[in-house]
Amino acid sequence: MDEVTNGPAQPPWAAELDAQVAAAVRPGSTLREVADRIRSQSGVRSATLREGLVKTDPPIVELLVEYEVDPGQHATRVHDLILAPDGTVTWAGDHPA
Amino acid sequence: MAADISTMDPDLLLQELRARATGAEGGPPEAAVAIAGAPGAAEGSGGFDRVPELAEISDEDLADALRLGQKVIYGTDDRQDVYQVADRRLRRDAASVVALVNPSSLIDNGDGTSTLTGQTLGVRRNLCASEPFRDQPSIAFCSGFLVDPSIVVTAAHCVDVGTLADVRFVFGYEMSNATTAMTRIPNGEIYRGRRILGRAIGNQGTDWCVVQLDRPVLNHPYVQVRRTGKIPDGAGVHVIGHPSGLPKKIAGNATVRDNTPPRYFVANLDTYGGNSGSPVFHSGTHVAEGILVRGETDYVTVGSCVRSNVCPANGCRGEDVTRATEFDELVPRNQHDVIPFNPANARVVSAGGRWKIEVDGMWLLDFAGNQSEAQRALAIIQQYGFNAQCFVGRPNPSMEFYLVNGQAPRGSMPGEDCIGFDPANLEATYVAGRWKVVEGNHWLLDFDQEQHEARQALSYILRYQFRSICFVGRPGPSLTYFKG
Repeated sequence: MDEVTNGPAQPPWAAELDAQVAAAVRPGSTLREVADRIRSQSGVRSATLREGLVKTDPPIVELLVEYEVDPGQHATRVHDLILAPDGTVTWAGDHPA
Repeated sequence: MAADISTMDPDLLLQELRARATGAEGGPPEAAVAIAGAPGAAEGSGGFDRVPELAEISDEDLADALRLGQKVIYGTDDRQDVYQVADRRLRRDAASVVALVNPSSLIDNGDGTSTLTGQTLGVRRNLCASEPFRDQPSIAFCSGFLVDPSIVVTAAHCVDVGTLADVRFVFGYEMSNATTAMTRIPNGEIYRGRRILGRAIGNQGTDWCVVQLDRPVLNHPYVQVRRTGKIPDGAGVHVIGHPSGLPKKIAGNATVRDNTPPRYFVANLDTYGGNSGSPVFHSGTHVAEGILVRGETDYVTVGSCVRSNVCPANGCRGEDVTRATEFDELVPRNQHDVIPFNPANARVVSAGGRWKIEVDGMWLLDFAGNQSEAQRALAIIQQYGFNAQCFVGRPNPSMEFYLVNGQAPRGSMPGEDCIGFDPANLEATYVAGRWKVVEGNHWLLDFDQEQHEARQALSYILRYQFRSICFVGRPGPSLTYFKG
């Protein structure tokens, strides 16, 4: 038994997709640029913002990305992006939807 | 013809909303939005004149337009510094709240204190001159609250296993008066996380993290959390934390707006980034109902500076609060399983061939055939004046302890068999397939697979500041008791 938990175990495809998104968050990018970049990636069905902000300081916006992980099989990951006062974003992490 | 409000000065929009909220003549009476506490705000009508060209615009449309130009205040800005609050229960709630900061924000002064360092909020955020608290420091990145002497709850977005070592949990970061922030913090008020006891993040509003600190917090109260059910619909709530990284703020005058989601509820709390992890209390019971996690946009740039977003009291999306019932099982309970008794009436009796201690017709302890241990136990009970027998995990308790008028027994007796320990070094941990309370490499108590009982036992030890465990009749003691 492991008492130190960090959420449920990640599915096998998650790490690759997370890296794909992390790479799309280039320095100085705005949220729209990142979302557009992710939408253009293969296997991405949709990229939408979750309503509201996570109230860390600085706040985090959650980008919900739906992927095709296998033919006909879809999954959604949440990618946390730190929102700077100037509107640019930096990658913060990923977690299940 | 109605004015094109998208092109109007946000100050005029704000003025109109303030005037409506304070009942000034000249337009629709059903004002729903006001901002208080900002420079220029006054009592009564607030000195705000109605703006004639906005008379036909609804509150909702005004607020929407203002949002584009401007943080999230629902109705009036209800944030207050702790020093401004006289209510003792609110102040007690506030004393349980902790700021989460990066180690780089703390400079060790070498004299037993450290200084929190950071820019003022106004500079950091380029706030407009009318924004409140702009001259206060902005340092904390999240908030948290004490639920047990060694356990803090915060939001999952604030900390995870990988970042725990880079978080400091700081008590006492607040304003001492209108102009002085308490940024020089005794090192004793600064804690680290020892481990994450549980964490969950996902949709349906789940966003919580339970952290065991590196040592118990003995000078701050811990809060009660809801264990079952839901907060009542429409209940009054208040939130305490570090909005925008500011010194601790209390914000009340809010209500539950949507109580239907199973894992969270929505309230019109005045919160900002930095409030993540803040406790949200039921304002009537002061029970922590949940954790502030998500909400409306905070600030938007307007022209050359940044303003707060303003919403009607019932407008915007509301602020999401993860329910305490999502994590309460990791929080030790405060209700004791206790049997009170009068030590003066305790006596050793023989019944069915077994020696026992009986009090007023109740069997307190059983010593099988060992009369001398029964006599010794009775002497101890009466010497210390034990008057409450407490259990963890009945009917087969994994821990028993005794209290004297609600306190740890104190003192000593000749010939006692006791082992001392430092409560600050204890932890509940899983060792070699069993849950134990240990001090370093030495285990004190064994709970087999009962994790909850191990945590509960540790909680009691910390709460009563037990410092030694004593026995009658080792090995296989017939009486085990703790002393302070």
